[in-house]
Amino acid sequence: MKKKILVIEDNPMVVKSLEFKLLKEGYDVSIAIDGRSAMEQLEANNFDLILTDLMLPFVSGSQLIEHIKKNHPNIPIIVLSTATQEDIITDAFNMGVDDFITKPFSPNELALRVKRSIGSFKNQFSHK
Amino acid sequence: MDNKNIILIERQDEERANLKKKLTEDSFEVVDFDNSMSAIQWVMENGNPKLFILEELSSPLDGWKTLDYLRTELGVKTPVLITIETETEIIVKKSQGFLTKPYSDDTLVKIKEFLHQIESIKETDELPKPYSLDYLDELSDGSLEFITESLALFNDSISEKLTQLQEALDQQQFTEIRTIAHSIKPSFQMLLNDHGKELCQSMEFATKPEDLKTLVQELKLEYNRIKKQIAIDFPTAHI
Repeated sequence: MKKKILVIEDNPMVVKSLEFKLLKEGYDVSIAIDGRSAMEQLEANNFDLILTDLMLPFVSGSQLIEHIKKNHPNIPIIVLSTATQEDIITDAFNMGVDDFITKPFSPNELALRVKRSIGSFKNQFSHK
Repeated sequence: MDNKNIILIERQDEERANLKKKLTEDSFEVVDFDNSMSAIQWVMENGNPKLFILEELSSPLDGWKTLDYLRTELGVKTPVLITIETETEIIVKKSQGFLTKPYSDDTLVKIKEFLHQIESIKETDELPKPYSLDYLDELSDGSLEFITESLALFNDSISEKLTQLQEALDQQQFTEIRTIAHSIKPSFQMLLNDHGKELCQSMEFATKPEDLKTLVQELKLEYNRIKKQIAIDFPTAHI
């Protein structure tokens, strides 16, 4: 069965690129363009991975991560960041995110990190 | 002998004197005019300078008409910087750039960078394209459909965001400006347009309204440069 990835990002070019690459890699992709829509999708579906920006309309990145960690602690999170967000990325790691990818992402790096994040969580739970 | 003449057309005495002083102190030789016809007359009598700085709202011929006259009537190929005051859609051509007022030390830096750029591309006689498809090409393994759809997304989404950016600027909503700049920065990066990226980055950290105003204006111009080039490169793609 295809792994399901939720992409939370408001830049349409980034969304299109992520969707294109992830579909090509064989994943099932859902898109949320703001935090509110992301929360709705999280309630209605099961995801294997979340890729999220940290500056989103309506809900801040930290609020969103807090919500995911509280209500969906088993879903790994990869943060989509920009090169100028070191402090925000550090805060995100402190809140429990698993990895980050800098926008615009390297296609190969995206594939590797997504695979690794999904794989590491699968292994973590299979060892328990 | 190296031609160091710069012709400066500027109606406002104070601005003209200010920029002339900065350029002269930096070893340029400036011939300044408060009207475009006197400048054209000077060129006809004395030959071409190294650079023209034309005020967009100069009179009796405005900056664009002056440029057109110089190019078509006199066959002048000298690089030109237009000092803009309105959000005119700039048609970027070879050896042409723009400045904004008030003139400052940054203006001098821009003039020198422009001249450097012109000199460095003389061999190819072409200004570099304002965007590259290398990233989108690599990402999509050369899918033309993906590339044209991405370019259409760039055109539409950035146009909308620039409108929002202007509204946020008018209402002095600085957090909103930073959010929008952050959001659109990757779009410029994906087209490998460093200038747009840097403008967005500066907007994320700028605190002075006058700086933000200039940055927004420059970003609009950069967007127009890219849009024009896309229209030239993809004339039938309806982007």
